[in-house]
Amino acid sequence: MIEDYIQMVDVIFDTDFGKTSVFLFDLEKYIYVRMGSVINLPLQIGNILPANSTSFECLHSGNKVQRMVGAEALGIAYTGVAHPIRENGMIIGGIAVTGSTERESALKKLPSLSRNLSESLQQVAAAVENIAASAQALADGGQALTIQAQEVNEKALVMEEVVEYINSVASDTKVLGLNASIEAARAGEVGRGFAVVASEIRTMAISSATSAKDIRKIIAGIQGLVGKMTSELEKVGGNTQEVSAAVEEISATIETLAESAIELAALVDNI
Amino acid sequence: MTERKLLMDEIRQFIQFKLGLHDYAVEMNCIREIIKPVKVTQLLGAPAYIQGIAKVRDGVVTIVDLRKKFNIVPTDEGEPRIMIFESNSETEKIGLWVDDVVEIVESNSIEPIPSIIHRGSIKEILKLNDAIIPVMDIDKLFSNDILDWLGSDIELVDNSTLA
Repeated sequence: MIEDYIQMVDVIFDTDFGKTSVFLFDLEKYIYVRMGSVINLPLQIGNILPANSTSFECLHSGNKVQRMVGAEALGIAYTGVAHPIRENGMIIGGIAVTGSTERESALKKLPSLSRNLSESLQQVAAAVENIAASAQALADGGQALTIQAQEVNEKALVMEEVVEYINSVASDTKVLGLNASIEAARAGEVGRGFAVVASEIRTMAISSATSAKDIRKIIAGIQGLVGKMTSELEKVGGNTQEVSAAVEEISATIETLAESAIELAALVDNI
Repeated sequence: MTERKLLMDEIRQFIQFKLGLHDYAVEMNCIREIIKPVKVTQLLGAPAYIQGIAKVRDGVVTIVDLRKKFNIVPTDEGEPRIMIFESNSETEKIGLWVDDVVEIVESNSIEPIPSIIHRGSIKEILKLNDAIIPVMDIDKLFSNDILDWLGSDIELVDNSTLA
C-alpha cells in the first residue's frame, strides 16, 4: 500500500526543517503533499501527476529521476528528485522532493567570499597602519615645530637685547651731539662748521633711535605671532592625539574582524 | 644780559626739554653740558627741590629737581638728563634734572611775557609752528630771591613740620 509511506514524507520533511517540499504519489496522482517553505509548487493532494514532472517520469522509467531547475522558473533555483516505490517488484507509486539549491551555490561562493574578506581586512589593516604612522609623524612634526617656535622666541629676545644696545648707543650719541652743538656755539664763528657736524650727529642719533623703536615693534609682532603659532600647534597636538587614539581603536576592531574571518574560513573549509 | 633789546629777527638757539609732560626751553648759551643721570648724594636739611649733589668730572654739581616744587608728575617717556648750567664759580655749579632733552631749537620768534608770572623765572615765550614753549630765565631762577621762594614754600613735605 502506497499509503504506508506517508510517515516517511513527514520524516523527510522535518529532516530539512520544512524547507524541502515532499510529495507522495501513486500511479496517477499525488496522495500526500508537504509543501516546503522555499519552493512553492502549485501542486495539491489529488492532483494528476503532470506529464513533465520528475514523478511522472520515474514511474515510467522505473528509475530515479533528478532534474535541476534554474532560477528563471520560480525565481529560485531548485532540484527535483523522484524515486519509484516497489512492492513485490511492482511499482506502486513514488516519492519526490524538491529542494532549493541556493544553499549549495551559496556554500560554493563562501570560500572565495571569506578569502576576499580576509584580503580586504588585510588591506584595511595596512591602511590603518599607514594612518597611525602618519598621525605619529604629524605629532612628531608638531613637537619639532613647537620647539622651533620656542627657539624663534629666544632669538627674538636676543634681538631685543641687541636693539636695546643700539638704543643706548643712539641715546649716548644724542647727548654727544647736543654737547657738541653747545660746544660749537661756545666757539662762536669758528665753531660754525663743527655745529653742522654736531647737528648731523644729532639727526643720526634720532634716526637710529627711531629705527630701534621700529625694530622693537617688529620683534614684539614676531613674539605675538609665535605665541599664536604655539597655541595653534598645541591644538593640533591635541587633535593628533585624538586621531591616534581613534586609529588604535580601529586597529583593535580590525584585529577582531580578522580573527572572525579566519574562523569563518576554517568553518567554510569544514563544510 | 640785554636780550630785551635784541632785534626780533635775530635767530637764537634754545634747548627744549621736558619736566613731566610739559615742554620748557632755556637759551643754549647758558648751558655748559648735558649728562646722563648720575649717582646723587642726598643732603640732610636741604629743601625738597634739591635732589642732592653729584660728582661730575672733577667738580661737584648741585642737582635741582623742579618737578617736586611744581607738583609735576614724573614720566617714563623720554630719557632723563641733567642739564648743567654755566657758572662763574666752579664750586657753585647747578644741574637741572629734566625728564627728556628734546632738541636744539633755533628761532627768532620770541615774545616777552609779564614778569609777575613765575616770579620772573619765565622770561619769554618761544613760538614754534605747532607750539609755544616757555623759556626759563636761569639767572633769575637761581638768584637768591627765587631760591628763597622755592625753599620756603609750606607745601614742601620736608619742611612742613617746621612751618
